[in-house]
Amino acid sequence: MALVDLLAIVVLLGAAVAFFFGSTALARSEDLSAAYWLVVGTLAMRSAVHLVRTAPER
Amino acid sequence: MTEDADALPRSPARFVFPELGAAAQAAVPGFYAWGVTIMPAAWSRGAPAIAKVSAIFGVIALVGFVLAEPRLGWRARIGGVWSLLLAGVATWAAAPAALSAFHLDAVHGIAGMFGWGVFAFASAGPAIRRSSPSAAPLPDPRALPGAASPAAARQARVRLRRGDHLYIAGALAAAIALQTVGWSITVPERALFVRLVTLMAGIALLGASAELATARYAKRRRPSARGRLRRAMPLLVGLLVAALIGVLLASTIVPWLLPF
Repeated sequence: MALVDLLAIVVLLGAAVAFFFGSTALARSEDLSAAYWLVVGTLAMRSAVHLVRTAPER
Repeated sequence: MTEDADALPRSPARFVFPELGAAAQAAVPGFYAWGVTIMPAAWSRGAPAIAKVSAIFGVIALVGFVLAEPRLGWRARIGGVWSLLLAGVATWAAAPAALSAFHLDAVHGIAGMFGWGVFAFASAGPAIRRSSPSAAPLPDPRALPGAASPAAARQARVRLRRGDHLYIAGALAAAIALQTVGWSITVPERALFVRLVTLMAGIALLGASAELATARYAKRRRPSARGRLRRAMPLLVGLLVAALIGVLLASTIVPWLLPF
């Protein structure tokens, strides 16, 4: 396994944690914090997918 | 491959639905999730007719996309997921009181969480068809020409690579963990919004982890590590900037970022 693949897994784990924080903040009506974490989660998830993708996006 | 398909036992269902694939696999937990979370909301006391109509639309769409899968391919899977999700959202929006903590007991909540989690997982998984040449998902060396016997080759084709179960278990755990959030919210609109966000995040995470796992089976030559890193660089930089902004805000301006 290449280092980039390992980085993709770590970044995806980070996305999961960010989504969890975002959902928790949303449940507590802390909308600004929720928006921040959900944006971070989305960015992290897209980064992870781009790190392993074989061909450019259609 | 055709030999393999022919070797499978013939069943009446196979004559009626010869090409049942991923959408059909996902439809089973989809029906369960519908029965546990959408149907009770649509037929709850005081629910308007539009809630019932959207709930029925969800089931019809799920069945329709299963039947249309031989023609539509992977689009049927996507269509099935989003139809059921949108039907659920429309039903819950029309009858929001059914989702509040006053109406939803813990057993129902856990059953619904389980149903949606399995539906998301089944929808995110790659399709394996019985009668198509693309049915070989794994390039195991024992499946290549020169394998000991057709039976050994068949057995080798369905063997997953080491570590696949970790991807699956990790993504499933994350999706389930997301479904544990927000079950005690008493405001119906907020409860609905949190359910929608956690469902979408869970499905997205399962899809992304499936993509990470299946990228290892790609037949095409993968770009070099440097090439992949370069392609993901704009997103990684964006992520880094967002992280720095978060640290800066949390430490200097407002300590609101951590929800605990």
